[in-house]
Amino acid sequence: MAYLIFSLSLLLIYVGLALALHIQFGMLGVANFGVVGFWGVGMYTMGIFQAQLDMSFVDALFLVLIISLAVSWLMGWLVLRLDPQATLCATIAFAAIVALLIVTEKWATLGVVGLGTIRYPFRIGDGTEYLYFGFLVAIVVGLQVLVLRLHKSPTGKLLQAIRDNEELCASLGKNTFQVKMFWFVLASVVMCLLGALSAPLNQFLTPNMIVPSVTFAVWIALVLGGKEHSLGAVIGVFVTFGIFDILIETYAPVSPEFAVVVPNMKLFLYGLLLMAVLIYRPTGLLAPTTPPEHVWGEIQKASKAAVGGVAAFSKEARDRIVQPKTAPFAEPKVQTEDGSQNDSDPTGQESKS
Amino acid sequence: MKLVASNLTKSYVGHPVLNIENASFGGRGIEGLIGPNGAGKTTLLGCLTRRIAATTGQISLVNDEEVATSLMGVQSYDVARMGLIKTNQRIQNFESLTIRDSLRMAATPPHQQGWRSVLTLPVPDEALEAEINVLLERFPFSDPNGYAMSGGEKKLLDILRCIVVKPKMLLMDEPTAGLPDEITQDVMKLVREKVDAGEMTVVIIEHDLDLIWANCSYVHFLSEGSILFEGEPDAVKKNRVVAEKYMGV
Repeated sequence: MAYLIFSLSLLLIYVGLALALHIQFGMLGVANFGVVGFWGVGMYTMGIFQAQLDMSFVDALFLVLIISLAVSWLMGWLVLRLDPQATLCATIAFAAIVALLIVTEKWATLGVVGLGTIRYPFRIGDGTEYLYFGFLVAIVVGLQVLVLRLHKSPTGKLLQAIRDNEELCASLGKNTFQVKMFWFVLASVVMCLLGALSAPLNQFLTPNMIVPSVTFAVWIALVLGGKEHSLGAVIGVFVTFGIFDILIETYAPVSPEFAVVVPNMKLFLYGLLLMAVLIYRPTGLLAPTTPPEHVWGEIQKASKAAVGGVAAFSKEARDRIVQPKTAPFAEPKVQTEDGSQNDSDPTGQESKS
Repeated sequence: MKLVASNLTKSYVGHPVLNIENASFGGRGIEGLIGPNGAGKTTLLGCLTRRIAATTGQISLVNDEEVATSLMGVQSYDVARMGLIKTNQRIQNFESLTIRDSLRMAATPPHQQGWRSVLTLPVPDEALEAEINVLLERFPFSDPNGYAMSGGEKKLLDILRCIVVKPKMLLMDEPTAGLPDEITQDVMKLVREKVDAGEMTVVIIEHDLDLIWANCSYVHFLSEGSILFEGEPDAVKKNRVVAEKYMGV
């Protein structure tokens, strides 16, 4: 049960990260590939303040807020004038710098040795984890409400307009850089603070937590769920992290010899799922225009299609393994006279010529 | 409102495309800016709205009280806020906004679009909604509550979007390109109404000279980056330089 609460808490953190990324990429069009950088800044500064300097949770969180504001503002100032590809590279580089600094700056982070222990705030004994889980629920629900309201508000329309055509927007008298800066910094600070809040969950921080796969997991979740839909982030995280990390890793009856393969399989399956979605539903499960009352229906339809697709794929695969239809490297059989079985050209157009 | 440019030049990698000694736009109702392809018409409008940085020279905006404000060093969005708005020659659109959202977004003043609106969720401004309704009744969109679909609809939306912002001076870059004839006529009628009511002055770049002669009370002729002649339409029609360089007579 304790492990489930830990997993669910982590799931909430990912939902929060995906919501912040939804604001940055889904609404503003800023491709931030440095999610783990912001998350890591928050997590490690929290760790340093609490474990090294023995500060209280609230004091540490306040200092983390100030540091993350400075870092996010600097990043925004550096990347928001760039074109999308340059933004992407710059944010990836930022995440790499953060990861590197955590390893090299041993005086603060203790390097690869790791930093700990970061204790839960509001300790009440046995129920502490549940209380903290409730605290995270409140924060993520708050973020989701903010995003839902953002979509309805005039600001949300302005952000979408900037994403669609920034120059046109500026020519109508909108200070696009200021707007981008505000929302980019806000979302980045949210990522930092979510990092700070996940420090007590992990209790012991090591540099191998600050890896690009965090960024990719958040990105995959958002793109899967629907990057421009207000509920895309939460649905995407449930489909990826919820199914793979919680249901399969925790509850699937996997024999010990395969247990080590599961985390690697997870990334493989994430990738497969992402490819399938990008091919069949480029907008993600939820299209930008899906009205809220259709969300549940869309999910049901998509899951039926997914189950059907997997069933068809596995049937096909089984048939091929049992009875290969074509030898992969055989010469194509082109029989022109009698128009008989022609494996290489099923339409039979060539055979008549 | 008048827009005055002096000694304005623009070069791309040493190659001069614009060299204007003195030019003044505005204050004469609807003005035309004509000239052959490559004369620098769009570049001139780009410089005037500060979308393109001029190489040298001075641009200033003279308001009705004859107070001049230099536009050099002013950001393009601030130029727009001063009331100088330009429609686009090539189709520009906000693809994910509906026609109504697009007009609403453009016309909403910045202070009502700040982050506070997320907390307050203000109701749409009634006067603005009424104005949008009038425009959408007047101009035919296949789905006025949906998205602009065809190139023509997007072009029309681009012009309407500029008009709902209530500019003091509207620069129109080839309004007929991509628009059906009768809609161009309707657009010009609307523009004329606004000009006659004293709400704005207009400068039109156009190759359709009939439209220029029918609507403009003053015409600037631009060729090879310089204004070679300007005056009343009749004088421009009769001018030899214009005839030689542009009308191919």
